[in-house]
Amino acid sequence: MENAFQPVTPRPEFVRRLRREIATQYYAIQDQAVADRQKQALLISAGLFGVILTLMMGIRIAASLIAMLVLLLQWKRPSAIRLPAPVQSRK
Amino acid sequence: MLEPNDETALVRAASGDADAFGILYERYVTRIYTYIYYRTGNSDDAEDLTARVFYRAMRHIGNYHQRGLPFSAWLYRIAHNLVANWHRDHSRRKEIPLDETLITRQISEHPEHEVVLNEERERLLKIIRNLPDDRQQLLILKFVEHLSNHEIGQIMGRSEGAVKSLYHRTLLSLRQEYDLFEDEWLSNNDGKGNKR
Repeated sequence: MENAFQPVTPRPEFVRRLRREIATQYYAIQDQAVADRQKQALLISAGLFGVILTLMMGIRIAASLIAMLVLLLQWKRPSAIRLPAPVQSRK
Repeated sequence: MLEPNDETALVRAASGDADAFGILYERYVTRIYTYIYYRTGNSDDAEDLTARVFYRAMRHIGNYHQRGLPFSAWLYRIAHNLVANWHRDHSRRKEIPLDETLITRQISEHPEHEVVLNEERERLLKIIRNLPDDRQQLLILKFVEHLSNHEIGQIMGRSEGAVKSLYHRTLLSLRQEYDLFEDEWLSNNDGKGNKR
C-alpha cells in the first residue's frame, strides 16, 4: 500500500502562482466575505422582523374578529330582560 | 523568525492578515494537493481543486472558529466536499486517467523490476478508485498523510472506533478485489497468449 501511494508534490510554479494570487486577492475576498455576511445578517433580521410583525398583526386581527363575533352574538340573542306587563286598572 | 502555530496564524488571518494566511497556505498546500491528486487521478484537476480549497478557506476563515476542528481537518473537509462535487460532475467519465508522473516517478537500476512494481501499483490504484468514497478517503489519509485514527475521525466526522473498523473492512475488501482483479488479469493475459 505504501508503494501504491508515492509521495506527490505540486508544481512549484503552481504553488508560487497560487501564493501570489492569494496575497493579491486576500483583502478583496475578505471584504467580499464581510459584505456577504452583513447582507446575510440583514436579510435574517429583516425576515425575523417580518415574522414578528406578521404574528403581531395576526394576533390583533384575531382579537378584533373574536370581539366582533361576540358583539354579533349578543345582538342576535333575544333579550333576557322581561318587560314589565302593563298594569290594568280595576275601574 | 519563529513561525506562528496554526492557532495564532488563524486568529491573525481571520482578522485580515494576508501573510498569516500565506503561512497556513504554505504549510498545507502540498498535503491538500496530494490528497486531491489521489482522489482525482490527474494533476490538472488536482491543481484546480487545490486552488478552490484555499479560495473557499479564505472566504470562510471568519466562520472557522465556530466549528471546533483542527485547521487541517477543516481544510480536508473542504477538499473532500469539492472532490465529491467533482466526482458527481464527472460521473459519466468511467475511467480516470492516471498521470504518467505517478507511474514513472521512481527511477531504479532494475527496469524490469520497476515495470512489475508500476503495474502492481497501477492495478492497486485502479481498485482503490473503485472503492466507495469514504474508504478512498480513509486510505489516502492513512497511507499518504500518515494521520492517526483520531485525526482521520475528526476529518471524516466519525469516532476513532468507527474509523478503525472501517479501515479493517476496507483492507479486507481491497484484498478480495485485488485477488479478483489479478485472476481476471491473468486469465485475460493467458487468453491473449493462447490466441498467438
